[in-house]
Amino acid sequence: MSTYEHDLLTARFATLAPRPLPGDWDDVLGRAGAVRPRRRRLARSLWRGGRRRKLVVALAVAVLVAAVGAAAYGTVRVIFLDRGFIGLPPVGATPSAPERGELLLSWSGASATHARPHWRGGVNAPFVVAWVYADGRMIWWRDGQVPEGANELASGYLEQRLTPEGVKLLRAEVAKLLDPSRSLLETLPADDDPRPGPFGGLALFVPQDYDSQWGEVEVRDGDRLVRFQWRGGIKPHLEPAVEKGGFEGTIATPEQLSALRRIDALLTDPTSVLPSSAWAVREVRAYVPSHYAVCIDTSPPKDASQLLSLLPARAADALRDKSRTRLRGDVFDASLNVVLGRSVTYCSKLTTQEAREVADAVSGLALERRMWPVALRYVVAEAVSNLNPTTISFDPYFPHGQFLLWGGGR
Amino acid sequence: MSMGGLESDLEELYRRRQGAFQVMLASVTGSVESARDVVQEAFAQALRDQDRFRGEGSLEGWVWRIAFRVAIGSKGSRELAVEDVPEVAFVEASSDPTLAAAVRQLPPQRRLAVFLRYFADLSYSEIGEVLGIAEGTVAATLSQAHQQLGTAVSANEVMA
Repeated sequence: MSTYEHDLLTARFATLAPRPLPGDWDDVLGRAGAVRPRRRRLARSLWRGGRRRKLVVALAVAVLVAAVGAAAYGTVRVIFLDRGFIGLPPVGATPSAPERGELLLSWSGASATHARPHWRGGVNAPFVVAWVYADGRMIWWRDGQVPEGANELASGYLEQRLTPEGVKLLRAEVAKLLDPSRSLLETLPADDDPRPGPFGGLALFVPQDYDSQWGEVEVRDGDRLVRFQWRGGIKPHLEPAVEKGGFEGTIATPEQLSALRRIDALLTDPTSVLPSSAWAVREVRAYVPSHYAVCIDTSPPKDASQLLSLLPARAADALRDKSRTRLRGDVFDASLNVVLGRSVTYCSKLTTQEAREVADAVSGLALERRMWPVALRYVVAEAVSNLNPTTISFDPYFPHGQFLLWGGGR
Repeated sequence: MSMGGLESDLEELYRRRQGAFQVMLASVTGSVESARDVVQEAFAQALRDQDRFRGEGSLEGWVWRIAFRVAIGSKGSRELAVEDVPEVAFVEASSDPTLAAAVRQLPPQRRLAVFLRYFADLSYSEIGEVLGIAEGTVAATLSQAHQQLGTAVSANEVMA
């Protein structure tokens, strides 16, 4: 079972969990014979009078609330969606425009800004990914409950728009905040191919009690993108320059940690942080892509032709002549910390309409339930021994020409 | 009034984890109110019996065992008999009835291991300590439980 699958199962169990009542240590002492009984009776009467608040759950319900804004744009009606969705957009939803955009800033990682105490102790820092483009678009995803979100576990991809001044402001502040960490910036390859993961390289090591224990920010610097990463789990008394798990870097100074906290707020909660003048469209809408990555994942690795033969004929026909990117990966059991085997993923870029036709063709297959709250994925063939099943998934392309493959490489 | 050397450790454990104890035990007792009562009683009993804690395992594991004994009413028994754990009564079963039903079908030991993993957030070694089984057995038990849950959930659910 992968870490992500474990997290999903944990999230589903969390919906079954009742809200715990307040604790009372004095009551414990009283029962053990160590405190005045009067206080104990008072405390017990308080909790007995309490009311449980029921957790609202819409776990497997992808809420595709339609058309909020239907604005005339010439003679074409523009249909916006006021909530995120998982998988393919409702028919007729207007794709985000323009199709391509220059990426200026991005965030991917756990967000300290949105971290909340976990009922099992510690904090839960949700995963957030956000991209800011030169044309002002900000596209983002956040795990957990979001008012405009697709379901209780995920927002789906959402979009807002900044003014040119807003983009300039955001970019300038993030660049300034990264300045104390400039020795940790790395240049990224400039291509559209998904990047392999997990990553190594340079990183700022944050203390164990910092709420975000991992993540990366990308910033455009001229014609290149530079990356800044951070990782947790390092005790502050260690040497200033350390290496951990394939990462090399330095322990965060208070100034660097404060800057990271501010970058987190700017990129994961800009609605609260940026002035209203920074926004062209502050309202949150669903991001509707023009293209999808349709990916077939299997383990152990097989040829693409072999995998296509497993699909319903209509889906196989639609994918057969499409060019494919081949991604290799490992099937990793996080609980046992062992690699169980190799996997391969073939991805083709399809228009939304083409992707919809493939999705229709495979809709008779079983849905990969563990992934449904975050991704549309069908099971093509059952797993061999303890490896992963063969699946077909549908993930949106973003304006900078990349897509995120859930539970796999990027 | 001091109860002995472990009081501050027990208090720290209580303040940090009493919510997790309640959530887990509510599935055994049937209500969060009764689970809270069990947790209060278990920590009180741990305070009274702290001299019996020999430090062979973790303090939390020891308190979990006490809590289970209190919950299932097997007073005086040193070993936790997982077969004694009653049918689960999810207090929020309507939130995810498919998963709740699938969990109810698990054999007692698997069910308990799953609860301790997902409600109590215990590690494999801590689960092993509570259930009195080896860590490898916990891994195998959970693996079987995952498989059974996955099968049950896929078989019973329809796409929303």
